[in-house]
Amino acid sequence: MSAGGPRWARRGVPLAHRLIAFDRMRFGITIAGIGFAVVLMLFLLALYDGVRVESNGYVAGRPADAWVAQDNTTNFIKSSSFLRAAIADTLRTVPGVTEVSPILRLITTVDIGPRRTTAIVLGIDPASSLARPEVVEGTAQLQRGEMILDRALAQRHGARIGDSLRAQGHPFRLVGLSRGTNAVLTQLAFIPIDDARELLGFREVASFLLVRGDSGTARDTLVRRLEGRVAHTNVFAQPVFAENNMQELRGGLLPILATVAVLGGVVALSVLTLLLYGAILERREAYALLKAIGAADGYLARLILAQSLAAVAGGVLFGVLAYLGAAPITRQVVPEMVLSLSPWSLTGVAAAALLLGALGALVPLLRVARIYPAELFRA
Amino acid sequence: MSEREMAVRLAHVTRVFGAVGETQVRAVDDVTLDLPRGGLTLLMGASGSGKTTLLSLIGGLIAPTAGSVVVEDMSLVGLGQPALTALRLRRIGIVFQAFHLIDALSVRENIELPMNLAGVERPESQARALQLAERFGLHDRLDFRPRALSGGEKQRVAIARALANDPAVILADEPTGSLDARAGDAVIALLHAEARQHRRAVIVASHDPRIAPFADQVVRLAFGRVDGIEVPLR
Ligand SMILES: Nc1ncnc2c1ncn2[C@@H]1O[C@H](COP(=O)(O)OP(=O)(O)O)[C@@H](O)[C@H]1O
Ligand SMILES: [Mg+2]
Repeated sequence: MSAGGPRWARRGVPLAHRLIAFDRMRFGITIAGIGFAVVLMLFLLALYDGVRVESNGYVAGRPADAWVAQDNTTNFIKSSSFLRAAIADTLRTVPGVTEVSPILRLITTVDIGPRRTTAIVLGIDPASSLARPEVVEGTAQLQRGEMILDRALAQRHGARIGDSLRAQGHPFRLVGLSRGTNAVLTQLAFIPIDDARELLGFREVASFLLVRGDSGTARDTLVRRLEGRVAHTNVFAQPVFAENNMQELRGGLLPILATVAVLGGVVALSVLTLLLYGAILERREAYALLKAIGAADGYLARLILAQSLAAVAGGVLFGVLAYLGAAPITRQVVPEMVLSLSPWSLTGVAAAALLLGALGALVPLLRVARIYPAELFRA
Repeated sequence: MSEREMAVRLAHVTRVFGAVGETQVRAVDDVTLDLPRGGLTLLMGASGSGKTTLLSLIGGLIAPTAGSVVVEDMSLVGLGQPALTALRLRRIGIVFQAFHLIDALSVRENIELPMNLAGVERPESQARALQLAERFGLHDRLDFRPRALSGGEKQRVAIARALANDPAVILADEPTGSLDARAGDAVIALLHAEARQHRRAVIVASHDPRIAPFADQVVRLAFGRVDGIEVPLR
């Protein structure tokens, strides 16, 4: 053999590498086991990240400066805010206000062909750009009797632009598909506010008022002016309201996701520990021999850690590839599943995997400490 | 022979196994013995006479219950595990009846391993492995896995591995026990040559009387005690 090749190969016999290659079936199964746990975690994180983009997209994307809601209402998704419609006129007289646009929020049935689902239906002012959702197909300009539907909900039920739908029994024509409007457990639909008021049966009512200020008025100043102008209202700066809504969306999801993620981690750790423990017992002779010929404890620790980290690295690679392969299919099959993986989440999974590798080496290391070289004399 | 020529000095070494009572065994009982460099010492005795226990004591693999073990002027009594490990790595080579080669490694890598552990990097370790393999007629087996070797070849690889870091002491427990007569003779001849040519203290434990002619001294053990020391006639 020449003196060439990579430096790690020149330093000495790559024993960890050889042991893994020798035990490749066992390592392969372990890598798959860890890989599936990693896929699980990636899906959970992608769901969590997806909520930020897709579920909170509509609220976070409003080109407004402030939200006005009923007293004690703090967010968009979990509330039953109702305001008198006339409040809009009062707020238009506040100095610095250029536009006030009402939203009326209903939760109702939507019939798509023979299939019935429920959605949060938002009545919006078709003439105002403040409340209009981002549309990926069709138009954002609503006429009376027209509806924009969240794209995932539409895909789920096979609704196409031009289809006839019913909301709370009333006929609408589907004219647009929106994004940023999928809250996983429920989705948003949009109709003109006059239609929404007819569905509700009350004319002089709104749920939220979106307020835009002029360029010369600071957002905080505008919020302060709006506050207390009308009794029994709550005024939020746009980013504050968006953040509140995000907390509500994620708050319900987080404990569930965290629990499943921890369970996945525990399963992965068990698989890894079992692998290394089994591999060490099976190679017990080799470890006893290493001790007999004078391998220091540090060498043995590095040897086991290297095998552990190799299994984890393989598992992460397997997991990421499996995720990349499975995520597009999932989006097709379950359109409501909002998946978006941030670099932070990937980094987090890598860090968790590193921790897993270190923890996984722990029990096997303790086992190696109880292998004695004198065993080798017993033929 | 002067004291300086002694690679191993045992004084009143006793090793007891088991708790006090019927199950207690005095595997080695008050053994005092000097083992010189440059010669092959054969520890002979019936099965259970304490040969393996004595080798384990010299190698620092187990500690004596009483007495002192000195290897290369270093007293093993009271040495910690890391110091004993380091001593084995650099000064003591061990050969087993069951070879104990690492089957995931090639012949070359098995021989290299102790050198790498001692800090010798490639390609130096590869070069010395080749040199040892040539000395023991294994040069065309270097890239084989141990399972592809005959028993005699395996034991020669094990001896090459034991010699990798040029130790002063070689401990061999029943090195011919798993070999046929011809391969066994070859292995013993090799060990004897190592003792003579490289001035090592080679200590072989065996109950096989055919080895005696190769020995420079034969220590007879019975019930853990030294029963006599002879220099065989050649
Ligand atoms: N680890 C041990 N625990 C208990 N008894 C042991 C142990 N090792 C050896 N012995 C006992 O010590 C005696 C000597 O054993 P050993 O040194 O292996 O003899 P030999 O190698 O000459 O056959 C035997 O009676 C054996 O049963
Ligand atoms: Mg024995």
